[in-house]
Amino acid sequence: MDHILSILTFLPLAVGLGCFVAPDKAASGLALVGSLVTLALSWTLWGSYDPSGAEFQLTETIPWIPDLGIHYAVGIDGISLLLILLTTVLTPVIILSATPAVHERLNQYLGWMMVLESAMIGTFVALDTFLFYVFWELMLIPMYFLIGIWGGERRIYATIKFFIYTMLGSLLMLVAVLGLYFIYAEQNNGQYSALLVDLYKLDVPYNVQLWLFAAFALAFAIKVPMWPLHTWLPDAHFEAPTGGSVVLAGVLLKMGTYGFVRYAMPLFPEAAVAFAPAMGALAVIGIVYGALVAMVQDDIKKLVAYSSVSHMGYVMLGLFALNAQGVTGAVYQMLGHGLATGALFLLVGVLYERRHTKAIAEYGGLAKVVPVFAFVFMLVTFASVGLPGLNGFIGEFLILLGSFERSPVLTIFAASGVILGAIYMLWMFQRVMFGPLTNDKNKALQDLTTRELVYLSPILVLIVLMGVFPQPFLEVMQPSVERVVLRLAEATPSVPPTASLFDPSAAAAVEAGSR
Amino acid sequence: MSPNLLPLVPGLPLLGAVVNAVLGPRVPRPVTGAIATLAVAASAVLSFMTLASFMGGGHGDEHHAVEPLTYTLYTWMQVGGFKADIGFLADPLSAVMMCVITGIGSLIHLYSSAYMDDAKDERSVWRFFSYLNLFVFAMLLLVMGDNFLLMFVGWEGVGVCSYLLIGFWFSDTANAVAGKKAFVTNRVGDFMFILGLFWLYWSLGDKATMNFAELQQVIAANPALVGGVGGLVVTGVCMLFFGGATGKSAQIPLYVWLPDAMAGPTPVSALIHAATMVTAGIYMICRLNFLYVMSPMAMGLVALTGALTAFFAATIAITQNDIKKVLAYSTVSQLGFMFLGVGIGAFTAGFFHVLTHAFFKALMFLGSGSIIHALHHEQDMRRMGGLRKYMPVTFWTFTAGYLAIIGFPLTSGFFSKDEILWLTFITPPERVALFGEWVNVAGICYGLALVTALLTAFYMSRLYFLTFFGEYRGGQAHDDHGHDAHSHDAHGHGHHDDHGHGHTPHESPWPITVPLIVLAVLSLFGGFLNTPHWFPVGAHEVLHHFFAPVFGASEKALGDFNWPMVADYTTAALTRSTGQELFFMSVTLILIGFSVGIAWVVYGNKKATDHGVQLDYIATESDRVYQGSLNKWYIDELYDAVILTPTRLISRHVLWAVVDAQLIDGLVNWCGKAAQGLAQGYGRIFQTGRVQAYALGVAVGTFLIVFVYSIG
Repeated sequence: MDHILSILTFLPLAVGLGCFVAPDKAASGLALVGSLVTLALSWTLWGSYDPSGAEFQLTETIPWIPDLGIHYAVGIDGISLLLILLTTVLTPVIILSATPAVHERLNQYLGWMMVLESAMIGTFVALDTFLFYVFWELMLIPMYFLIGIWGGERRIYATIKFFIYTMLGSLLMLVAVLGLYFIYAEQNNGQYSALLVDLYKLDVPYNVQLWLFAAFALAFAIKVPMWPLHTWLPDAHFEAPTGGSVVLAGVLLKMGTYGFVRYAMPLFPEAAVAFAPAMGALAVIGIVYGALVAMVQDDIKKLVAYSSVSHMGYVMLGLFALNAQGVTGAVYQMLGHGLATGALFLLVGVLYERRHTKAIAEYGGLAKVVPVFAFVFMLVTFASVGLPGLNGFIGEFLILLGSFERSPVLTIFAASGVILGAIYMLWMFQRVMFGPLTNDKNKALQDLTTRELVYLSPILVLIVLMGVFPQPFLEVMQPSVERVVLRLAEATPSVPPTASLFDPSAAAAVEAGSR
Repeated sequence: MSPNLLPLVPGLPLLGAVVNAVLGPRVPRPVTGAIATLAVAASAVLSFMTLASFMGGGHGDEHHAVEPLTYTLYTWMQVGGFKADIGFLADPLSAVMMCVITGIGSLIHLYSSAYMDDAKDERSVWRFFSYLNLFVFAMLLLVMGDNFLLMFVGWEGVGVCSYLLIGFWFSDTANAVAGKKAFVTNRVGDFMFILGLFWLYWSLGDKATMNFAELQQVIAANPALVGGVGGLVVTGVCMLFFGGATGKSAQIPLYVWLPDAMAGPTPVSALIHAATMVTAGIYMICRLNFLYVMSPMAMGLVALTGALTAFFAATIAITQNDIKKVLAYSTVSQLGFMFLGVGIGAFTAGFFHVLTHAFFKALMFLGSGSIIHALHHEQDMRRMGGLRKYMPVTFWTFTAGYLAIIGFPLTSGFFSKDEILWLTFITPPERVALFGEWVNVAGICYGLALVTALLTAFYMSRLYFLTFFGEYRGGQAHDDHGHDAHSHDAHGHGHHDDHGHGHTPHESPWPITVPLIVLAVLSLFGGFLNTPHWFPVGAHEVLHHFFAPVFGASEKALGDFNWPMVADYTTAALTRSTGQELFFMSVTLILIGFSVGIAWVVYGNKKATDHGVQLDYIATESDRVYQGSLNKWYIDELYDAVILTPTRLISRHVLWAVVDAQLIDGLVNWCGKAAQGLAQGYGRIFQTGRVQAYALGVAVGTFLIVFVYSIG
């Protein structure tokens, strides 16, 4: 199929629009079939993508606004391939989990979810900065409604906060996108291009790189979220419906780290190298801070949200290790975190549906009443704490291994997160699952239903599979990661960033291009 | 044995774990136990076959003809220059360990099938056996992994199984807390372990490898990579690895989890927390002997920590009243002896003690389990006494373990402990130069070890006399049944089922007594595996020769100082040294005899008393030292006050409540309000509150900017 990526991108959109006009029952069938077809199609990419081949494959490049050099350009490399698969695996899971849980306007819920899948895949396949920006912004809208309509009591506060944070980042990114666009024109005799392959070839002056990197980095860092830009996340998770939390933790946070590895780092390699110590330090603060705050949460969802801050800190640390182990580990951790945290939110959702509370104190001793749930919960908990043999370990280990080369001191602090992770996860697990069964409301708790087992099982299988046989996944992304690392290795910043940030020639370069 | 069979050794217990997990409560309990026991027994057969394949070389022959067996299943991960395989290594060291794990493991599985029989919650027995098999699998990975990473998989894997089994009766919060404490404390060790791993990896540059055999070659060829003998890298790395060992093998400062781990079912205490998992740290140092011998400072740290732990744990063991707690602190203490052994470079002696300790400590835990089982989950020694009459098999087998641990002549513990003591005495200070030339660490270690040996004889005698001698004190005074929730092993069990209290204790059934008898024989005669050179009978230093392919090079590298058994030691020196050794041994034995005598006077043959509680005639309840020891010198409280509580308080009241909620969110909310205020001035046209409109605005704005610029 020549247009496989376009089909993958727009099929969910079409399905989503269909859901809006269909009645609930038909919509859930439609969404499920649609997401499963998307899943099946996405797995064909595994066969058609050649890891040893060109950087971007299955590309389609069609002029969109020819005069402005803006294209509809899509394509994948090993990194985006894996993230697309993560998206297409999680979507049917979310669709399945929604049907009994969402009581109002189910068809619209599913519709927004499918539109979101479209936007997410689009973001991963886009190879034109403007196209990327469009998909990036498009993701916001479904998420806004998912939290705003189906969320908890303070959902309006949470959505506005989420929206303001993200818009702030997006606007800065837009400025940077435009800046880059004009620099290209300046260096290419007034020819415009927003194509990533063209922009990769640019030789952006160092001080300009610093500014543009900073703008991109801010947008992406909010999305990750990096400390101290993380406070929208616990609120968004707390208020979001289960499916919203799953997609938020599972895929949307990865947009930030993906943005770094696809845009900010390869486009501005010197700036990336120059900012690496600062980014690494912020990442480590996030790891430790997120873990410490997660430890003292009284609500399961907030705990998992703060654990995401910690886990995504690992991803950032790995990326800014700037070596093969670190970046590979970071991508693996994106997948690992997506699966494990996605599953955690699903499990919290299962509890919430039965008891309508997420407060840890309301539970205790559940393992006796719901043994199957306990087993699944435990497996996911262990994946989350990075137990060897499960997927979380591979990413965490490679990240720490990589970052040790760059900074042993940062790695020591980062590795302490491994201890803290065990503390907050196992403490939560203990308070929910172990001890005497004191709360009468929990005595007749229903164990996992077949439906719940069905939608959890693909995640559980992947958690084990990716822990025991990581090599096929590592091989697929290896050449793509190495390209990024090589680009960074060739970059040697001449002066520290603070010295040249305020060099007036930066503005001049952009201005020159804009004329 | 064909190396192709190696994966089956850990594979079979894994299969057993999976089968039991899948079948679950659908099969009867005896079948569950049989599946688990057979899986480990089959693995034991293969392990002994592996061991047998290394037993060809003659004595005195430093290097056996048999090469290590290796088998690589597949490449686990390979990134950049980093590679780790799922590959197995069987050499004399791992082969012995495999036999210990699967051999004692089979016995304990058999024992468990009877011990877990009275579990009230029938549905949970399969879970127990599934975890127990999983533990054996993980432990075998730890031992058989041919690279650091696979070892680490096992290392953390046994931690998880330990967590699951300590908290097996999870309905009691105390058990769950003990499990979590074990896991988290171990994670602190693991944290140091991986840092050591990273440091070692990156210091090797392009020769970096995770494989033990390759690593040994790389370092032998390029010692400068790790800084050479006494270098910073090798010292740091070895200390970090040892930090990992202090977690897994319960040494100062991370030993605190092991006594609490006694909350698990007693067979678990015997297998995991006495015979196998807790010796992983010693095994790891033995495996990395070629690194440790390069760093006298790290060796000194290992030896001194071991000696200090041995002594410290013994000072706690002397006042504990819970039979399992005494055994737990005794385990911590004995592990200290093992670290002392490997720390002074006596790898064979240290590992020999791993072996003999596995026999006698597993035996005594199983014996205590037999008692606990018979007394319906009574663990307080103050309510035991006189049990030799009621439980003869348990009594006689326990006697074998008791004699071995106090070092009664010719028992297994006698040979292994005496070797460590003697070798510590003759260790030159520069080998364990933790503090340079300033402090004679070896001397301190010897002093501590000797005192510990006396304390051991005392507290083990106390346990032995209180339990088996005098009269049975359990039939009465149940009103003051002061159960310490932490020590209680019984939850989920039928506490008051068919017998009720005040009955006469009775001997346990055969699946319990048979393992006791086998282990008793090993405890009594296991020492003949490796008798000293001067000893008239037995296999002279056979273990030493057997391990020569693993330790030989390191022992040679230790240089100007030779152990008596190294071939080039002169006969005259050997004779002189032997005389000294025998003299010191005699003195030690006499002192141990005194210890036992004192214990007999204080605790032996006491009649049942009405109060039945105050049996510590040696000290009063108000005595500060007594209270200190009884309360474990308040170390748990100290950790709680210094580390745990402040962390929790700062996280909640500073990080979360101030930094997150006030500083960051305060700023965000302020921005929101400011923007709102600004917008109100501009009128409400653009403030429709509809996100689509905003998004549309953004999109339109984007294109407008592009458009304007492209014209301009």
